Amino acid sequence: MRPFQQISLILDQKRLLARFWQAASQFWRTDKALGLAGFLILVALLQLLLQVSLNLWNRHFFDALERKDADTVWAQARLFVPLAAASIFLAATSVWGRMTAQRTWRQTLTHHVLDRWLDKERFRHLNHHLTKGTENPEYRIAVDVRIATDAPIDLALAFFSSIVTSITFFGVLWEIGGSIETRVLGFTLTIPGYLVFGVIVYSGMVSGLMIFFGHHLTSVIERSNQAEAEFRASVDAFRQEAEQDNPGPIDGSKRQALQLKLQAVLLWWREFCWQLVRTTLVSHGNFLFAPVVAWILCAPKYLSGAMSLGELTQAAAAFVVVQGAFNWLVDNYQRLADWRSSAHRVATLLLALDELDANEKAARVVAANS
Amino acid sequence: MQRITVATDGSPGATRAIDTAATLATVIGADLTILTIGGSITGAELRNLADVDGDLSETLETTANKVLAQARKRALRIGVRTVKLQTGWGDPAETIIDMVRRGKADLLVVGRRGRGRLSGLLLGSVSQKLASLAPCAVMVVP
Repeated sequence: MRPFQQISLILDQKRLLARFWQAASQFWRTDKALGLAGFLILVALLQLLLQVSLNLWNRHFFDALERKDADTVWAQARLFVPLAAASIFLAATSVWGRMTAQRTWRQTLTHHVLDRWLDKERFRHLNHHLTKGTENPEYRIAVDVRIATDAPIDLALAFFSSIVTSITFFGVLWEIGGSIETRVLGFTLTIPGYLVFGVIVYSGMVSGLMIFFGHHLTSVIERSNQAEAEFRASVDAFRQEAEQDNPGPIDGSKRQALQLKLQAVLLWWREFCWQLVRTTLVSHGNFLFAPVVAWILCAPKYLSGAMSLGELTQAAAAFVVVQGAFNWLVDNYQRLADWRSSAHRVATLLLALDELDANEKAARVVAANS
Repeated sequence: MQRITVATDGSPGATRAIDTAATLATVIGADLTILTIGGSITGAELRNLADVDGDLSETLETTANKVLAQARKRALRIGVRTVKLQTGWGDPAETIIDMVRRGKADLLVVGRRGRGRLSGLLLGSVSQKLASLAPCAVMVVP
């Protein structure tokens, strides 16, 4: 891509996101929204607390098994029930909180866009004002607003959880793993907190591979969504025209135009498939390797007797948790792309309505002056 | 025989088919329709388009028009007086058959091998499908 094309594309996308946020942020200035955000953060922190408790439980349970200490094993088994119950309750509460926030945000934004579209019969004028990308406003209002308000809450919460989880479990890994000594070129090298070092290197490698294999994924998904929307708009326009025209054979060129749009959808879909195939190679590989890498990293300390079985399982579980948290971007590639394309489509509609507004005002000024 | 249709994808095989169809149309004074099936684009081209926010429909149309323009130029040079151009989208064999049926062609001329070598090996080539399913006489040019 040429540099000036890249710069213009980035500026255009920034302008669209700024316009989207200008309309969407209205909701986040209300007390209700701030209350919901606070509640969701509290639930996320409580979930983290439980995750740490379950991680500790793992350690105590396996240590008791190793010691063949039946009393402690049964005590730990009993302790698991309230921990699991609390975890289940918090998961359900989190779903309620997230969906309530998503519903109310969608309600606010949909009302805003709908009002602007209906006001002064702009929906009629918009048909004659077809800047590219403002087709199918009904779909933008009904579906794109939903996706644009749905994904950010899940993504933001997942991001917050990833950060606090990483920080917390870094502590666990640092404490349990301790340092390890290794001989390099005849010298003894001590690596402090080697499990933390290991998880950072491993996660960096996985994220790097994912970015290498899937760096086109977001733009392909965006184009794919756009092609789908254009196809829908073409079919809709075709139906409306056909209803107005006299009954008769379908014009060949109109049929071809529809097939061209369909062809674009199918080609993007083909590319999307290949992008997913590439990223699945990394994600499934990671799914298989991450726990094993954790066990292998802990094995030298366990075999030397410096780590108990309970600590080994706790460290391995913490490694997988941190590694999962590191993968926030990788896991959410597709949702991010879906969100970005929907937010852009909502913003394009809002900008078109802004332009209509400006034109109306200009016409009024001209009329008043003449 | 009044209407001859030739299908092209810009490949050397299709170019030979255009030469044959154009010569035949000139000799017997038939109308010549050149058609192409758009949509042939590589993954690398698609990814590049995705990065620059390019319009795929426009790119596909431009590519198809380029293939048709080259074929038209070749046919006119051979001596055909008028050439009709058509673009179709979708499965090549099915779309060509549909277009031939609509255009009421008397003869369809195609090359034996086009661009889609792998598809040809896996699914049976377009020319083989056309030879068995087209509603008119089919000439396959080697």
